[in-house]
Amino acid sequence: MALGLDNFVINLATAAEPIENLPTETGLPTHELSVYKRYFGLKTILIERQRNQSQLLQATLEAIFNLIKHNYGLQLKYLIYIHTNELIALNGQKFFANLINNLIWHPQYAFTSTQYKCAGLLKWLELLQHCLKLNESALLITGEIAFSKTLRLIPGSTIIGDASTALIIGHSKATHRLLNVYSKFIPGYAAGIYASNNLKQQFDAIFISQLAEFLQASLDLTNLTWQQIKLILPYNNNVLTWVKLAQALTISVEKFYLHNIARYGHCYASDTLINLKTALDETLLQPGDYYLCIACGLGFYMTCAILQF
Amino acid sequence: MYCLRSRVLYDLCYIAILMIILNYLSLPLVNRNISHDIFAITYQAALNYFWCETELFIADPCLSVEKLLPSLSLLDVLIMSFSAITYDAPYAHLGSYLQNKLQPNCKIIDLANIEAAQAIKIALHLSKKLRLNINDKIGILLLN
Repeated sequence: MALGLDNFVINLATAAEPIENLPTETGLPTHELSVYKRYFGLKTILIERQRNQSQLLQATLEAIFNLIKHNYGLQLKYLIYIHTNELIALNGQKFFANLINNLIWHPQYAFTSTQYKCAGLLKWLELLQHCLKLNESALLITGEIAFSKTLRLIPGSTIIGDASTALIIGHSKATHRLLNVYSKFIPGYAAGIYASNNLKQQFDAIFISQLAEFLQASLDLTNLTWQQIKLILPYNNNVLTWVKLAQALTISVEKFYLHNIARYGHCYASDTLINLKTALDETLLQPGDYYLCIACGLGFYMTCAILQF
Repeated sequence: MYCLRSRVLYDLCYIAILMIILNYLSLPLVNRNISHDIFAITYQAALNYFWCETELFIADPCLSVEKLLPSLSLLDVLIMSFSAITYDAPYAHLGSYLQNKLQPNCKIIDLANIEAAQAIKIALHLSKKLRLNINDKIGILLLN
């Protein structure tokens, strides 16, 4: 029996604010923000002003536990909090310990993971294929608040939105069957957002072709064609990336689900489940459809998951 | 400072005792396909761990990692646990930096925001789960 996505929830920031209103948060003047709007397709960004990170994650955990009610037949083997920023709390604050202390469904192993940055959710789906037995499940939680300009803006790429998601995964007859997860590391870009301009330009020159090659190889290994893929759920960095990728793969950009780029911005590792939820709400997927999720992490990691609804 | 040192000593003792027990009772571990490489690196990491904590903060934590690179570069899986000390490291993403130095397909598992004793427990568990081939070399690195 394959791994499947059993239940998941999304928890968005309390408001999405127009990009023009965010010069303080991003450190960019209004005319530069208009570039992000016009060329990158970012219109409103999720900004959390009422809850702190702990409250955001607590609400997500409550939502996922409410969703599954008391149906805890499977053993909760792992609880993994996936985050992009290495610092999630001030030194000395037992942020994670406090978060999981009051859980009603106790995991055997609980930890947080930041290695794969925004690709963390999909990477852990790959790793958990080797870790979960038939009667075991894992709870993956994502989400963080971009509390500084450095975190809010990825220059020349995107603006970060605040959101959180949670997912229960296990071997079951789930509604979303995980066919395959692949990942690839592009060496030489460990500096991430602190890379020199030359290095960034060098990366930009190879990124689309490398990603296209990786996705094509992943699809070939799964014995599927692009015609069989109903929908592609990419991460919500900007529209331009996916237009270029569609051209490189010679497929229609309509296959890419890009609605949330304009609505929410890039919400770190939460993008995948946010896009899946809204795509399902918009009935863009029918039972039996194959779909593909893409996530990339600074450093630089590329991951993709191929699923069947 | 007293409390901090007590805690550090407690954690270090825990690791040391664990290593001694596992090393001297290594036969059943070998039968369970856990490589000795794990403990070699854990031992160095324990020293590193002690040094970091007693100094409270070190300017370049990657220096100590560099010393481990010859061992780490052989690994198929690296399970590491580190805390915020890497935040101001010269390498923005220590994990990605290490990924560049290790074998291209080496899986790096980071266990963050947990205490050293818990990290060891989870790392030993995951090292068994992620040993996909009998000859895989798995390392555990503590940088808390």
